[in-house]
Amino acid sequence: MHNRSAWVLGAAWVALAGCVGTIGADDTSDSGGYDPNDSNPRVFHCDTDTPISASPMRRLSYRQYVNTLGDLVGHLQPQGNPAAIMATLDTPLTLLPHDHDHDYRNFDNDSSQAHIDAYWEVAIALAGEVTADAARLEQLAGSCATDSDASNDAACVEEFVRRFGMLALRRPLSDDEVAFYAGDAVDDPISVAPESFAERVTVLLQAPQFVYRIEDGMPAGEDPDLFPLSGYELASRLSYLLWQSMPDQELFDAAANGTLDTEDGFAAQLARVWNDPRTQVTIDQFFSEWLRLEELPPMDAEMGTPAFDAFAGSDAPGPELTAHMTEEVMDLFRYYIWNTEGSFDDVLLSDLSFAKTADLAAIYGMPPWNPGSAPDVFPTGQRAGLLTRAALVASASASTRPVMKGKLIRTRVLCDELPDPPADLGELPELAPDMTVRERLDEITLQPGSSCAGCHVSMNALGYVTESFDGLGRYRTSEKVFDQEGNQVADKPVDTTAVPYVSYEDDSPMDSGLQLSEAIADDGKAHACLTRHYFRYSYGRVEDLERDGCALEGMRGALVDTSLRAMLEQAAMEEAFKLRRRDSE
Amino acid sequence: MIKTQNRRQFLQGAAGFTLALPILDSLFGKGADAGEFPYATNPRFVCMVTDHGGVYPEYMWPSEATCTNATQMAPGHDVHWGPLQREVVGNTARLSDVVQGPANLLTDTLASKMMLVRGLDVPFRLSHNTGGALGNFARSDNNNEFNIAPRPTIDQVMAWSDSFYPDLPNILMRSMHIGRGGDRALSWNYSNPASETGAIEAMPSTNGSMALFNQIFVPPADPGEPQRPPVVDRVFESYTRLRNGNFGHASRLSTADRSKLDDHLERIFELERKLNAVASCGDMSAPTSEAEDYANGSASQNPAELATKFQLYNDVIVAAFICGTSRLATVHPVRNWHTDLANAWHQDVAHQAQYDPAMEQLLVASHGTFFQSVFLDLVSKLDVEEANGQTFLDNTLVMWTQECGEVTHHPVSLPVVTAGSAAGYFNTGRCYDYRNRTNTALMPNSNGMGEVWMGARPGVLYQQWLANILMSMNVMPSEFEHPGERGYGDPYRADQHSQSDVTQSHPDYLFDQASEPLPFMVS
Repeated sequence: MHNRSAWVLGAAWVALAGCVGTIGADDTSDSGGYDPNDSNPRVFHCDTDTPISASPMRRLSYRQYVNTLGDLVGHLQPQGNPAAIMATLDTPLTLLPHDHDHDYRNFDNDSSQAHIDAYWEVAIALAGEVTADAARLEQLAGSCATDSDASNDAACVEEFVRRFGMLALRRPLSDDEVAFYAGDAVDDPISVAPESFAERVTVLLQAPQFVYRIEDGMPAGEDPDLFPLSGYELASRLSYLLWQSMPDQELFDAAANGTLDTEDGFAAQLARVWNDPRTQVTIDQFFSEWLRLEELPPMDAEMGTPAFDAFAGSDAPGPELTAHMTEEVMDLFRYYIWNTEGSFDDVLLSDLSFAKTADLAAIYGMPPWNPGSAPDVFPTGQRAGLLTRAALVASASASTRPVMKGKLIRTRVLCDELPDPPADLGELPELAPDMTVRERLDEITLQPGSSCAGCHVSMNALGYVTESFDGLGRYRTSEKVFDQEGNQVADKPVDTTAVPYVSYEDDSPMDSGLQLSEAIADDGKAHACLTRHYFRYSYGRVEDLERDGCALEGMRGALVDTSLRAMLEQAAMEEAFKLRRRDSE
Repeated sequence: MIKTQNRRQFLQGAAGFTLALPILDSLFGKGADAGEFPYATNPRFVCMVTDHGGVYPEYMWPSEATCTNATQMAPGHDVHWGPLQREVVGNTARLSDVVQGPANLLTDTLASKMMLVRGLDVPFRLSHNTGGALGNFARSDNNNEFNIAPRPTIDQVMAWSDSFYPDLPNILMRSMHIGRGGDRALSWNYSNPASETGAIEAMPSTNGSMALFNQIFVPPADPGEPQRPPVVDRVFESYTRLRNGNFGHASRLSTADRSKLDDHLERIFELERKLNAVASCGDMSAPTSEAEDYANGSASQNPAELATKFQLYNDVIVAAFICGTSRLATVHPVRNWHTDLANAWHQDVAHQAQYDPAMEQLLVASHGTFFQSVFLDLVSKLDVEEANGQTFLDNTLVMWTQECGEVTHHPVSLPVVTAGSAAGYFNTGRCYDYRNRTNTALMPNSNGMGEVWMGARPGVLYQQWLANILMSMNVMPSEFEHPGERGYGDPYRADQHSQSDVTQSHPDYLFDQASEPLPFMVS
C-alpha cells in the first residue's frame, strides 16, 4: 500500500495544481509581503484610500431575536418571572425559521413569509403575557395603567410607548414616532385597558427597527455613502456582536451622554461588554461554528452493533459524550482567552487536558479536570494541540475518517479551497477485509491517474497524521479491524507518516498531530484564516480582501502580535466597525 | 346537495392504522360532526421527496409483464400501461418490492387510487438535487455550469395562482413545507412572490408540528369578544413610514434595503389576508405531541422515531386539508430510513449500490420504510369521505419521488408513485411506462452522456409530468410556460447548453409536447 502513497507524494505538486486555485501564487511568506494575486494570503493589505465594504440592513438572526425578546421581557417584567413568560413563547417560536448554516448562521439574511408570520404570532403571544393581569400590567406601564383615573390615560400610554419603544427600537423615539405608536396616527381613541397596551407591544415587536438592524448613521462627510454610526447604533453593533442581543442600560446611557462616541468611552464599554458572561457564549458559538462542532455525530449512534460494541469495549459511549467532547474544546479556548490570555499558537499546541467528565477523561486516559485547578498535561508524545482533541478526531464509528478530518483542516483552518467532488465516484476497488482505514482510502482515492487523487492528496494526509486516535478519540499505536459481526480480523501498527502540505511548497513528511500543529502554527496561513473567519462571524458577511483589508490586517496583527483575545476584541475596535457604507448602486 | 364529511367515518378511517400518537383522533373533539367540515371544490397537492434514489427497476416497479397495453406516442415510440395488481402474502400487500405495506392499509381500494409511473426523465445530469423534483433544476450541485436559471417550483406557482386558489377566504397557509430546508429545500419562490420579483429563495420549512397546527386551525370566534382596530394595519404603516422617510433619514437606505422593506410590506399584506381568513373546524383540539420531539440526537436515524415524527406532520396536513385552510404541502424528510448507520450513507451506500448488491438492498429497504411509514400513512388518513362518495384523497394528488433515477445521480426514470386522482384528473389504479423500449441511444447520466445500463431506455420528459401536475391543479400552460419552452422547468436542450446531445435519446417531439396531457394517464 505504501507504493501508492509514494506515487502520490511524487505526483502531489502536479495534482494539487489541478485541485486548489491558490497554487501558483507567488510565495511571499518569507518577505511577509502581501500578494494581490493570492486568494488565500497570510497577510492582508490595508489601503486607507480604498472604500470599506457596504453594510446592508440585517435581519435579527434567530438567536439574536430570541435573546432580544428575553432581554425585553426582563425589562418589561422586572419583578416577575421572565423565564416563565419566555417559556410561553416556545410554540410560536417554532414557527420562526432557523438560520441556515451558510458558513455562519449570521450570514442568513433572507426573510420569508414564515418570518413575518412568526413575528406576528410571537408578538401576539408575548403581548398577551405581559398584560395578562393587573400586576403584570402595572409592571409594564405603571400604576396609571390600572388606576381609575381616566385623566392620566393618554399620558400613561404615551409614556409607555416612549419607554418601551426606546428599548424595542434600541434608540429614543421621535415625537412623531411616539404619536404614531401611541395610536394617534390611526385615530384610535386611547383607552387604558390591557388590550391597548398589548396592541402597542404587538406593533412595536414587529416594527422594522426591531426585527431589522437599521442603521441611519450620522450625516455624511465628503463621501455621500459613508456614515459614521450614531451612539445608539454603535451600542447595538457592540451588543449584537458580543451578546447577540440588545444593548443594556449602561450602553444606552453611554450612547445618550455621548461617551460612547469617544475613544476612551468606547474602549471602556467594550471592556465591560467583553467581561459579561454573555460574551463567552457568543465566542463559544463562533468556535463551534468555525470548527463545525455541531456536525460531530452522536458517539453512541452505533451502540448495539457488533462491530462498534467490540471496538468500543469498556469505553461504551453514552448519549452525553459528544457534548462533553465539544465542551472540552470550548474550555480549551476559554482557558487561553479568559484565563491566560494566550496566543492562537497556544491553542494549536496546548498539551493540557480540559476533560471535565469521567467519560471523556477515560477516553484520554486522564483524571477528570476540576475547572478550579490547573489542568493536567497529556502524556508526552501522545496528544497535543487543538487538532488532536477528541471532538476533532472522533468519528463515532469503529473506523476513523481521515478525509473528513483533512477536509476540515484544509478548508476551515487553512482556508484553502476545494472543488466539489464529482457526482459519480465510480466503482470501488476490491478491498480486503483486513485493511486499515488508511489502506482502504489509499486504494479508493489515490488510484494512479484517477481524478480523485488530485484533491484527496491535499486532504488525506492531513487526516493520516492524526490516525493515532481512533473513532472515539482514544490514543492508539495499532489499529484493530473488526468485521460486521464484531470479530477482530486484523491488528496492525498505525501509520501516521504523511506529507500534509500545510503550505503547498512544504513537502516535509510528518507523523503526529503535534508536528502538524507546529507546522500550522509556523506557517501563518491559519492565523490569517482564523482572522477571516472571525471577521465573517462578527461582521455578518464574507470579507472582501481589498475593501476590508484594513480591518483584517488590524485583527490579524492583534492575533499574531498580542493574543487570541486581542484579535477577538480588535474586531470591534476597527474603524470599519464604527462606520456604515451604503451601497451606491 | 353535497354530502359532507361525517366525523365517525373519518375516525374509522384514521383509527387503527396510525402507528403513533396522537393521531387525528386527538384532534377532533366531541362536538365536531359532519356539517362542520368544509370541502374542497378544487384539488390539493402533496409532494414527498426522498434523497438518493438509485432503486433498481426490478425493485421499484411491477413487472413489465403487467404493463402491456400499448399505444403509439410518436413514430417508433410506444408507451404502455397496465392495471396495478396487488399481491398479498400473509399480512403484507405489495405492488413492488418498495411499494408494499400492511394489507389492511394497502388495500385493493387504495391500489385503485395509485399510479406508479416509470419513464420520466430529466434530460441532463442531476447531482445533489432537491429543487428539480418540483421544477427548480438550478438547485442541484454542480449544475451551475449549465446556466440553468433558478425559478419557482410548481407548488409555489400553484400557491400564488388564482386558478389554484380562486378563493382565499379560508386559506390560512398557501403552502406548508416540512422537513429539510435551506439549500436542501424542495420548494423555492421569489423573495416577493406576489409581484414575482426578487431572488429565488428557499421556502422555509416548518420546525414544529404544533405551531403548524396553530397556523392552519382557527378556533371559532367568541361572538362576545370586542373588536379592536386591526393591529396589523399599524405594523404595515410602520414599514411604510420608514420606507417613505416619515421616521427620519430614509434617504440613507440603500436600494437593496428598500427592496427588502418592500418585500416585507408584501408579506404583511399576505399576513393580513390570512388574519382575515374565516375558517373553522368545529372543536378540533390541538395535538398533544410535538413532531420535533422525535428522532433527535442519537435517535435521529431511528426509523420508528422518524415514522412517529413524520406521521405527526401528516396529521397536520390532513387537518389542514379537511379544514380547507391549505391545499398544498411538501415533505422532505431525512436522508435515509434505515438503522444501518454506515459512516456516509450517500457515499458508502447510495453510490455503491450499483456495484454492491448488499448496498442496493439497503436502499430498497430505506425507501420501502419511507413508503410504509409516511406515504402510506398520509394517503390512508386522507382516504375518508369528503363528499358525494369521494374521499379527500380522491380530490388530492399525493406524489412521492426521489432525488435521482434508477442509479444515484442518474436523471433517467425518476420514480413517481402517486395516490389520489386530483379530483378525477388522472386515471389511477395503473402502472405507466413511458419509456421507448426500443430506443437504445446513449442517455444522460451523472457524467454527461453514457452507456445504457441495466436495459434502461429513455422516456418522456419529467418536465411534462410537472406540467401535468400543474394542469391537474387547474393551472394551465398559459400561466406556467416560459417563452420558447413547453413543460415546466428548464428543458436544457443540447443546442442551448453544451453538456449533452440528447437528440437521439430525447428527440424534439418530447420537448414539443411537454405541456400536453400524458397519454393514457389523463382522463
